[in-house]
Amino acid sequence: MMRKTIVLFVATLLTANVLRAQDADTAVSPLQHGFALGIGTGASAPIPIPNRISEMSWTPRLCVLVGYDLRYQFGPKTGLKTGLQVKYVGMSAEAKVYQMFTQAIVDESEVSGYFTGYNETVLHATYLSLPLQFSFSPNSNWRFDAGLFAALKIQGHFSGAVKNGYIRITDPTGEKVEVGYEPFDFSEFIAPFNYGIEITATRSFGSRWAAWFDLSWALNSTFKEAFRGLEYKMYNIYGLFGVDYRL
Amino acid sequence: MNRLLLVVAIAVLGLAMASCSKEKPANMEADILTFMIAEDGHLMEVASSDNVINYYLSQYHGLDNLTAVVTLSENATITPDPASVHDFSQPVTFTVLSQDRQWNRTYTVNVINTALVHNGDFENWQGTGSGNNFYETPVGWTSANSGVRIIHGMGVPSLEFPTVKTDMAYSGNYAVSLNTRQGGQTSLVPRLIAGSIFLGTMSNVTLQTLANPLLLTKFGIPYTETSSRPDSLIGYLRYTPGPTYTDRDGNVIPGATDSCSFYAILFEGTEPLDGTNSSSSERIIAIAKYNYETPISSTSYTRIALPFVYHKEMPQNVTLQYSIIASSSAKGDLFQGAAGSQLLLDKVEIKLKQSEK
Repeated sequence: MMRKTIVLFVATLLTANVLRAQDADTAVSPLQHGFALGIGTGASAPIPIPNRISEMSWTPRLCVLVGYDLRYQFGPKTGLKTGLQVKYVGMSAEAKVYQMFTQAIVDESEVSGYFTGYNETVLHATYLSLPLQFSFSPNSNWRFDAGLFAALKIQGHFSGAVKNGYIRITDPTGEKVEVGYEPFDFSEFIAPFNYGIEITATRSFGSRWAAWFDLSWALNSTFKEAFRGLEYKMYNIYGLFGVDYRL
Repeated sequence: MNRLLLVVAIAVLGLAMASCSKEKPANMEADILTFMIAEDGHLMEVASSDNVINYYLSQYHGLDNLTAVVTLSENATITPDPASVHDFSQPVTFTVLSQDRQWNRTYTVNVINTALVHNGDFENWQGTGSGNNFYETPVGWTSANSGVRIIHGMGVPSLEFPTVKTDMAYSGNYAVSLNTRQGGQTSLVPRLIAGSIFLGTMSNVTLQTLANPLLLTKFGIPYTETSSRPDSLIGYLRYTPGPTYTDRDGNVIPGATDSCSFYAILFEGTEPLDGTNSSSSERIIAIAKYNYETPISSTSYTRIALPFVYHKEMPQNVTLQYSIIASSSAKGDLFQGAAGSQLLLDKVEIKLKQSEK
């Protein structure tokens, strides 16, 4: 998985260089660039949500994007888009879980097993993200971009607690240990790379300003493969909207 | 444009919330929660750590035609049917299957007519678990080995069980060997784990009680010899204190030597006593306790005879219970003692005296 991510990353960088090279050779520049600023929200969630989660409450966290866009137009309707974005994403969630495999580290003791009770988590991370999208503009006002993104984690925090329940040690027939409130911090298990699908809809207002909505959906888990604290893979799914200013 | 934003935003949230209405999954648990011999009527709670159920009858009853009543984990099933007649003169094995049919637990049930003291010579043993979680317990007795199994599950798989079978017996083939083990370094895994054996049950564990084992041990089985009263506790002991005595923080206390504990209590009431009140409760009628006056040899067995000291008269027409408790470190419940201390115990009995009425 990680190798694939790196390949994608490098490929995208190369593409960007090619675009620059072409820019220098072209009389009427098909190359456009600008800055993007956006806010939004989303979640890191297992898809589909397992039936071992019976209740879930989710608290949005303000997500922020600051980016630089680079666009190469093949013709009036099609093009390629890349750039570099700093994305801060996050969420808080509380879930009621039923016999869900989990792991908690309490005073350096690892407790793993099947937990029934409540689980609260806070997750936030900052990524340096590189999108590579194909553009389609049905008319001069609208443009739709679809493609992939590859992101590098700059910072990440994932903590929470299991509470008001019990854990069956190791497996569902193991000793039943009641849990009042046991916090955990799994920040170190946030995966350093994240990649996925990114689609963007942009509405132009004049030659410089545009408004956009962007949805990114990760295809690899937010957490490292080695992370056993959750039975399920969690995927970053975030929607942001904002403005572009073309230079 | 606004409408588009709204639609996409709802789509994102909808994804996250989509499957919350799924049906509750099938239960994975396969426990016997309570056990009762119908003909006896004394309901016994079964701790999640128990794979052996020692059911002491509260009055004498033939063992070959008894029926049992159990409560199980939600939607679990049990075979054979406890409600049909079983011959409990031998241990009876029940298997509980979880609702999802992926997990099962096997329980061995010993129904015991209280004799003073059942299997006091530690000749009959039963094993539970597998791999490094396998341990044996003398029939009718309880050890804290199940707590060690939890510690194995917490990443200390090499910790040896403190209570084990030994063939270094005073008489017969076996005796019980209680050993103080070096525990862990974290607050959940006690630094020192003393070997113990007692008459009673273990309670369900909380993360707090794991670090405070005084609350884990529930002492007491029915005392049914109501026409007599306990006169003395007798046992054969061999004791070797460990080399280095440490306090609960692991600091070495120079010059201190570990000692064992061996005592019996007779008390009133239906509730058990635990490690916090087993020698102080107002419900205690009499105690027979080893007080270190007779030195115990480390190379051969020493006979210890301890008189029951009565704090009050034997009450009439109340439920009476008794327990015998032994540990390889007398202050092991406070995490004080010496790793390596070993108590061998054999041929435990209680001598009775006719009550003067």
